[in-house]
Amino acid sequence: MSETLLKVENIHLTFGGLKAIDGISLDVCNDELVSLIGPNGAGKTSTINCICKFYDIDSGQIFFNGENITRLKPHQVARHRISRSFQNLDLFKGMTVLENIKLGAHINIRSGILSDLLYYGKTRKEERELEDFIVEKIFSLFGLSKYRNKHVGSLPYGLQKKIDIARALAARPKLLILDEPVAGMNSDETKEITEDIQKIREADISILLIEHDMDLVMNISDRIYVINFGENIADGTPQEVTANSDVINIYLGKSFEN
Amino acid sequence: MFIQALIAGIAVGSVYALIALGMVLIYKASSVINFSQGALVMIGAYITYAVVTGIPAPLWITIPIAIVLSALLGVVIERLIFRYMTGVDLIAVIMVTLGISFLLEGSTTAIWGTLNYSFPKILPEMSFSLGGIHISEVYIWSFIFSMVILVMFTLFFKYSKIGLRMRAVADNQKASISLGIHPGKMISLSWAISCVVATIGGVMLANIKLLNLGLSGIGILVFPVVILGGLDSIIGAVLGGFIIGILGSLSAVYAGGLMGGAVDQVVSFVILLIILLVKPYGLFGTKETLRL
Repeated sequence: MSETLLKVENIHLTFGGLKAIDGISLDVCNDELVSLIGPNGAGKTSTINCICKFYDIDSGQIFFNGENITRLKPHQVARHRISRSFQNLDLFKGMTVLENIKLGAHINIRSGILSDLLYYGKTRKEERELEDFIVEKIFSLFGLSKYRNKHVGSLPYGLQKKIDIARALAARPKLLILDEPVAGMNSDETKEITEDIQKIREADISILLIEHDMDLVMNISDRIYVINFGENIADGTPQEVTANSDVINIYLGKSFEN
Repeated sequence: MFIQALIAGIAVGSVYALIALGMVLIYKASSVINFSQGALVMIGAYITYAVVTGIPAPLWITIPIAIVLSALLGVVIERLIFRYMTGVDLIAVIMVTLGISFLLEGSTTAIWGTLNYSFPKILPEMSFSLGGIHISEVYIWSFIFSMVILVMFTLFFKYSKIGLRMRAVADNQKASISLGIHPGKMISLSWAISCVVATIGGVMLANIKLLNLGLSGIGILVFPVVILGGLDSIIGAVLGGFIIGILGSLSAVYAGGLMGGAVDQVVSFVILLIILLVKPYGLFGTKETLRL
């Protein structure tokens, strides 16, 4: 068994008296693809938002790469090499595809305000290297080259979903969190994204996936966590989870029994 | 007469555009409608006056000092006040900007009194004659400076990393945070830039007219510019500035005689009303769409 990368320990979150998360725990190991499934409102996206510090948890702890990241500020999470995509397409709509993905990669370059303003020396070199990296790695992986200078807001939904993942990947994360990457997509688009996710895995990136498409989840996950009403219900390999009677009752339905 | 009024309108319009740019920047970055922009123009001009007349050094040293002080003022305002006002009701935020405006005007009165000051000539002397029509040199310089600064900012936002990050925060704060951008820093920076352009606008206006408390009234005059262009559009601020500047100047010449003085200041508000009736989001503003 490889080392644990992300460890979420018994976290609790309330919104004004309403318990959104009531003691969820989960682990993601290096090079592992872990899925988080459960009915709508179970607390899946809330869990992600806790990991990314958009929500401050009431109790519990979150470790990443051996470091306690429970009290980080939200903008510091990316520096620890955790990237995420969004359920509702939070792209920079007024910007081009290249600009969106560049912003994803910015976390890896540092240069002062002054050199940036004057656009000299290191800034210029970094800028060129960054563009090479984006064009060679990210664009070719996702087939985005021809949309390079298109405004994101004008592109079709399926493509925007891809750009969201591409932007998160451009930060070169250790852990990539994907929040419903194929929601609202047709079967061809779903197939494409599935292939993209598999390619990302080959690059030694761990993935935490939230998804309702059970064929996808069962096909590509190493392990699955099932949650409901903010609590862990079950976890294990796809085979173990599909055989669990609680999971079938709550979420999967009878058709999965066979 | 027409050409002269047109040129004066373009020059004043370019200064309007500059000041409006400051308002648009702050609105884009943080959704704050800044009613203290006029007061920032005024205080910027006073700060520059104090530095230029107070420090015995050439202009190429004193002007940058004044610019840096203005930028610091912007950072202080954001850091001490608006950092704590995220998620607060818009009307409360507007009241706070009005409060800042009163505070700045009050402090200026306390320090410099209500006198008129004639601003030291910091724009180079240049006489200009176009086909027999004399054009005042301050107009030319105001136009040149405004254009240079507007072009600089356009390039900054398009090509620099910091500019790109500022646009990211303005476009989608949630996404920019998840990419490791500190939104507070970018909003601080937009206040700093806004104060700097306000100062530059203030210095040019003080060069065209006089330096006094009345300078803060420009905030009200620039408001139609911002609304006309659309609160969140930089290009809109620039075009709005020219349109209001030219119409104001032409109406002063052609309608001033018929209807008495100061008609130019009314005209911009009449235009504002008409525009808001026809296009409530301004000429270039983002329309809020509701999907059902």
